[in-house]
Amino acid sequence: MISKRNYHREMNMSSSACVNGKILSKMAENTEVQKVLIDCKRWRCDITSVKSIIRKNGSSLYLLLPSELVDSLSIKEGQQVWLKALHSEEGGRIGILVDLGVPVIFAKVYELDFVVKPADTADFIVRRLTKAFPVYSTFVEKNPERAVCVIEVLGDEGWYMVELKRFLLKEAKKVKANISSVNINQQEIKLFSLAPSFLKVHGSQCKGCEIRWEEGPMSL
Amino acid sequence: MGRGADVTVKTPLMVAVSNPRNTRPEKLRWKYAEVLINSVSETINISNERVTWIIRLKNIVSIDKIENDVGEFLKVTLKSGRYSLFFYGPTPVLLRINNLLTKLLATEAYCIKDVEELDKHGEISHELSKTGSR
Repeated sequence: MISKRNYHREMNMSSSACVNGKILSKMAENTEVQKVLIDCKRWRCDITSVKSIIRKNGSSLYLLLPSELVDSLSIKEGQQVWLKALHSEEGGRIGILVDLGVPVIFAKVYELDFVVKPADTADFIVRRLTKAFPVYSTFVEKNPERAVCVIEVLGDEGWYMVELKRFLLKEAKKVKANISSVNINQQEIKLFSLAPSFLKVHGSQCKGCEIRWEEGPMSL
Repeated sequence: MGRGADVTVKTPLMVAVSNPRNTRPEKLRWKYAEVLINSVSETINISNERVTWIIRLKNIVSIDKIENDVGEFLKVTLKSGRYSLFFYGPTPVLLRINNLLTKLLATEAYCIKDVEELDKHGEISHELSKTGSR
């Protein structure tokens, strides 16, 4: 882990070659973006930077991870990490890299597909479903006479399927629409979070999503 | 999915922009974005809190499906030949987008499974863009 003081010191360093632990490039004078190469992996220091403290626990010490870091990265208690001790090439400064692994998002998705007549009412029904449930994606295909809709909802409970169908029929009744061919399928998705901001949306706070930290494929 | 119908797809995905010759999509700088595809306006709208991109479907020359150990990616190459858009997300969603774009563009989606093939395919994409085939 690179301390804040060291981090700002590194910001002032010039660009240099690709060697372990060395700063690769300086993107812009006032942007907090840095790239570091460690164990053949390129790391960027642009997510967050916080201050912390080391506390005593028996004969060991533990590093306190502040809540802002825990929330933004969906870190869990008992999670295994890989620690690597680092030292600056210029000498003097020593740090620890806490490698959390690769965050993998596991989610249960309920796919609700149905046909609506008349087609004009599809937008209203889809909008109502989007407001009431954690809808992940929507697909609406409108023909002059009918609309085919596919709604994907994130959820962790079996009752969602019944609830979804009931809600759909209730909303269709409001606009005097005729619903046919209602199918609900459940599927599990696994996704590597390649964008750190994806974790904020589909992280631990997201209903129906679970983050598991894995070693990940070789290329990550 | 019939042609001529009004189709709208709205979904969050991970999106990256790169050179069409890029062979390692997982190494790109990915961003979280909301993707909206509409067959009437013939556009792909990609937006997040920082940026908004609007891609006209007529400016797309090829769609490739890339498979590697991370998963499946969708690569959409633009006519200029300078940029490709990469999409990553749940496989069923990517599949639906792939099917829709393939229908709307009346083109084929190429499936690429390894780096060497991708290099070969990069050349094919350029040939397609030169002849303007869609």
